[in-house]
Amino acid sequence: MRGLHRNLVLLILAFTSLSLFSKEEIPVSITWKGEPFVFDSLYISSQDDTLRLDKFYIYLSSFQVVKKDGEVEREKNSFHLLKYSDSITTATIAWQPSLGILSQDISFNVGIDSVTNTSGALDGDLDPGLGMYWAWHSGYVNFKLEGESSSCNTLKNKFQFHIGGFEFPKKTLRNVVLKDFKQDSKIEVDLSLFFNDVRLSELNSITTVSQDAVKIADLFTKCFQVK
Amino acid sequence: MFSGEMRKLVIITCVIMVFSGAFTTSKVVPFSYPDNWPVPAYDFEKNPRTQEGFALGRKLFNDPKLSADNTIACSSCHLSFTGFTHADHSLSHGIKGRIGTRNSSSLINLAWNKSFNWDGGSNNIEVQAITPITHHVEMDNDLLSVVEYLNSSKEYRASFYNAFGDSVINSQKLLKALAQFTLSLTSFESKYDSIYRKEPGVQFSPKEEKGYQLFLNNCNSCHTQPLFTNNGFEDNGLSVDKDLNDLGRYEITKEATDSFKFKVPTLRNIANSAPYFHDGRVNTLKDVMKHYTTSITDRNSLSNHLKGNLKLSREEQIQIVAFLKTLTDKSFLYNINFR
Repeated sequence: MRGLHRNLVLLILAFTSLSLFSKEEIPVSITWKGEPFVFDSLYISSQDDTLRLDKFYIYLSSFQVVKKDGEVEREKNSFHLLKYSDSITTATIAWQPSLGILSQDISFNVGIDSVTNTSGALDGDLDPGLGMYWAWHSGYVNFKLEGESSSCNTLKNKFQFHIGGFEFPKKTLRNVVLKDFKQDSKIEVDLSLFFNDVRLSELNSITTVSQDAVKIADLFTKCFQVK
Repeated sequence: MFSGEMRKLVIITCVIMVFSGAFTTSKVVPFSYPDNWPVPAYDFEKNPRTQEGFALGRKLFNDPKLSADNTIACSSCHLSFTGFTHADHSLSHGIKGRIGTRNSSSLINLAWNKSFNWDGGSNNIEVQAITPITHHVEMDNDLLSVVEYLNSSKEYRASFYNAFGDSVINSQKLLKALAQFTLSLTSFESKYDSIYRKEPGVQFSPKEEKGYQLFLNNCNSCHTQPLFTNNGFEDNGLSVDKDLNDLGRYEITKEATDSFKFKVPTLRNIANSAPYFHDGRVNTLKDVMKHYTTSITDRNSLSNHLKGNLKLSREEQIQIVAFLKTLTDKSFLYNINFR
């Protein structure tokens, strides 16, 4: 009987240690100049804009890791709506790529692809009732960034970037490839890098498919880093 | 594998499960249409049609509780006997008397449509329904509230279970059920259709026949038979209403070349779906003909198929209207299953 117990303990230990080698989820955190982001805090961008963020919602999709031997592991049905506001500054991608000891590239899309955008009513993170869907001009909002800044000459100094559009030439889906992704890595979205490139007095409200949205989509890809 | 007793038990259990519905799925009703018609744009494999799905969609279509104040249903502005448009309303009113800027579209043969709404802003019939449900001047609700209401109803939970095998309702099932109903609004039993199919004993009157030939020469490039739309967007030369200032397709694409373009509507059941044009500005087919023959605004965006006013005599206009009346399909307009 004692032998059986010992075997059981060893078995549990073996499974526990095995699980250390398979990543259960990938954390995605928002930061400001590498520090954890705090909603309600005032930040000053390198454009000298003082700003506060109310919320940041974003779709990340089509996750895959490219291994050193060239093998590609893709997440199936890879659509994730990450919602940051109040005290939530870390979200997770519930996916378990089987990572080797060596680092590899991780690749994903910011936004939703055109096939999905024309596939009718979908569910889960793609439920059109989640506030990330334009009915009047069918399509997903790839990301929403809302807050306020004294630099904005708008109602209550609000800024809002609702970035969407899946058709050329106003396509806003962007691919991001990050190197050196390892077992214990996480993804960070450094929002300071976005606001460093946007002068809020000049550009502060995008809520339609437009060339400005395309510009913002390009700028935003810079924010992603592996840590 | 199983002993005799065990086998008997398995068989009995299976029979009970089949009869209790555990294995049953609703019977798929194939989408049917005339042989010589184009293939529908809608992919029915992603939303197989069933009697239960259709009945649920019809119930949702007629339920004013889908609106924010429980007063306006889809059917408030889309009535079957007018080809599912809004009789006698140039612009429809939503909740609290709010008035929109466009004439309620007729809902006919939607499975062939590649886009929806007058500006084509909606790319799939399933998601089209989100627009009227959430639009401020229409039903002004939000999808999650509608889903919450449906889940709170024992009757709806049962209906969704019957239609989709799941009593937990989400927006996807709501929208797919509505689409099952609206996609079923097919019309191909008019006098024109009988003649098109060369059915014995049916023929145009001399006036209708002349009208048909004139139609083919003057109208068919946009209102292309047998669907009577080319599914495109055209500027038909209507002057801009200064109060509405509606630029049509431009509002979606922001391309100057799309200014004043609107989706070409089907002409099926046109005699019953007045008023006409995207803002319902005229009430009779005679006045529609008057526009095309006397009032076309010539501008850069004007349809390539129109080179100024159509040259049609008064008599010829009457003949075209006579032909248009052959597109009336009473079995569609007065189909009690659609109410």
